[in-house]
Amino acid sequence: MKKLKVATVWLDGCSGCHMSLLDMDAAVISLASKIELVYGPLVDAQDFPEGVDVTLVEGAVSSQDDLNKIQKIRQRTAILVSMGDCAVTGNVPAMRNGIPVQRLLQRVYVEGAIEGKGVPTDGVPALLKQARPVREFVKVDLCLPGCPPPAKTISGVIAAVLDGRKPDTNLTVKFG
Amino acid sequence: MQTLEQPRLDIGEQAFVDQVIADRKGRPGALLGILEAVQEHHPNKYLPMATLDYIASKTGVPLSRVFSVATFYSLFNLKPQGDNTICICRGTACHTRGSRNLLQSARLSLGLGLDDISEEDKILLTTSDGKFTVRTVACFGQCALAPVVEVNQKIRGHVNERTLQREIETIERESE
Amino acid sequence: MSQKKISIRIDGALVDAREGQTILQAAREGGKTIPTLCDLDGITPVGGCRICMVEVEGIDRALPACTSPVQEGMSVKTTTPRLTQHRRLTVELLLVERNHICAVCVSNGHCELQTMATNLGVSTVRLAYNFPKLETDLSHPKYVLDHNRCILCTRCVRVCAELEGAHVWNLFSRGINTRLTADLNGKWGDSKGCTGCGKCVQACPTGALSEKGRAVEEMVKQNERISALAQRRGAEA
Ligand code: SF4
Ligand code: SF4
Ligand code: SF4
Ligand code: FES
Ligand code: FES
Repeated sequence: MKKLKVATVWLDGCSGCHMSLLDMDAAVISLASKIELVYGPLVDAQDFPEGVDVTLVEGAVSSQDDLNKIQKIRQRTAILVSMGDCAVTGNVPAMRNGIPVQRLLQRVYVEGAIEGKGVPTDGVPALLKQARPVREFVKVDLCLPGCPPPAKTISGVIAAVLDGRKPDTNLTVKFG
Repeated sequence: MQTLEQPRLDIGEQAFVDQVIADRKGRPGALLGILEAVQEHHPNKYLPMATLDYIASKTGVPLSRVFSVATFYSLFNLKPQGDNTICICRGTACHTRGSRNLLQSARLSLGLGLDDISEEDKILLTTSDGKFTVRTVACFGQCALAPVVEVNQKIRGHVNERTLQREIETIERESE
Repeated sequence: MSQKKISIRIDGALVDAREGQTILQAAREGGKTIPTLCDLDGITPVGGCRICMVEVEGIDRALPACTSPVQEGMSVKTTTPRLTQHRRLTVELLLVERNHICAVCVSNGHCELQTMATNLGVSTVRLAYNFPKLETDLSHPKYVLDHNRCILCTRCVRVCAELEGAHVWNLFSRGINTRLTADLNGKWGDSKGCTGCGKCVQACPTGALSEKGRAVEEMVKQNERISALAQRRGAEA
């Protein structure tokens, strides 16, 4: 049987959703033989591959880099899942949205720094004006709110796709 | 925002407010009439916070209710008005016929700057010499004449940047 | 109370009601649930949030159950696809209007708005988030007001006026700029009228009003105590 190609992506989030993903316990064993993890912080791949079946996105779209990534990922993915509140609502990363980016950087890297090296510019992607949910940039097929969403909910989605079912969009989910 | 730091009302002003309240005692909806009369009496056509405080204490209407009423109706001003008022309609009809540009050009020509232009839904700006107030309303109900500008209580229809500029110049000349 | 007895149907079942009751009151007494947000048993209903909309046979538009009186023989439907769609959209609008970051909210897990979203299966919103810049008022010695989480339901306004007689709260301005105000746009802690009774905090359905010192998830409201108090007052009167 052809294995399901699954990717995970980490945008502006705390990695908690990925922790939850790893928290699947026994479910991991039954899934492991049926899926192939092709991209994400948990594997080594450099570039996002073509023809991915399911991509789980953690995090809000917060920088130009996030935006470029998610657009490319959307093109190469059949089912795009917003995993967790940051991807679904903006959540904690969006708490900066009322503050102009320059003021924010000044406050954190200059006023707030003990050893002032100033605002970093080298090798860090430019922040967008606001951190916003993935859905506001590309089409999202399924949203799994929660901070983080329970492991069961995540594995349930993958299991549904494996069974050829459409993942239930009326899952019992909870923000926060 | 407005706070209660202004000085108390002077005796004359108190007497006037007392009289206005006495005249309307027991009438339903008296508060509206009281606010209107008191605002009209003020040389700068507004309701200082101290006045609202005084009205509340004399009528027994809760402070929060007085504030609610005074901020609900666009007729009431909580900031001093200039000697001349230019009121630009920002309703849909006027917007589509360029009222944003009218607002910007009025602000520029009176030296009021273009800061906070994004928070446009209710603008009230007065020049430092107190001569002009530029403000916006949501619709004059004269949409057929869009874009509509009210200059010192007179409605002007089909206004363009040039005619608005001429109105301003006329007022400036007359007040010299 | 010798109100005339009438009977109505709610989702097909016969329910006894009394003249002068609202559909919501009759439903509650008859053991039926209609979702609500701005209503709180014991204080005057205002019909503000539109979550409690129901369909009444013979009437085209949906009616708010919390303010619509019962009528002999009326047949009410509390759950239809149209009503569910409507309720979902209402919840989505509430979620995008302010900054609801449930993960860091004192009311996480005990919030009526959050629960409403869960019950309606709202897993995302279809509108763009507003992300307004709003303040938090920490001036009161015992309580906190966080405008980021306020849904303008006026439960605090009514409970403070009707049960405490203090009239500290009201809404001011209008449209998207509407905000809750203590007195004349003052700091809550400066309000001379506030007795510190905490009724508004207990009545608030969200994390907008909370007790100081509560961490994430720690604020559990006891609005049934408000309803019980209102009932006692009613019986005394
Ligand atoms: S008030 Fe309710 S919906 Fe809003 S952030 Fe808090 S828990 Fe979430
Ligand atoms: S604590 Fe009591 S008196 Fe103070 S605002 Fe709340 S309900 Fe009103
Ligand atoms: S503070 Fe709470 S009770 Fe008061 S209007 Fe806001 S959400 Fe409603
Ligand atoms: S929109 Fe300007 S008058 Fe109506
Ligand atoms: S509960 Fe009826 S309108 Fe809010």
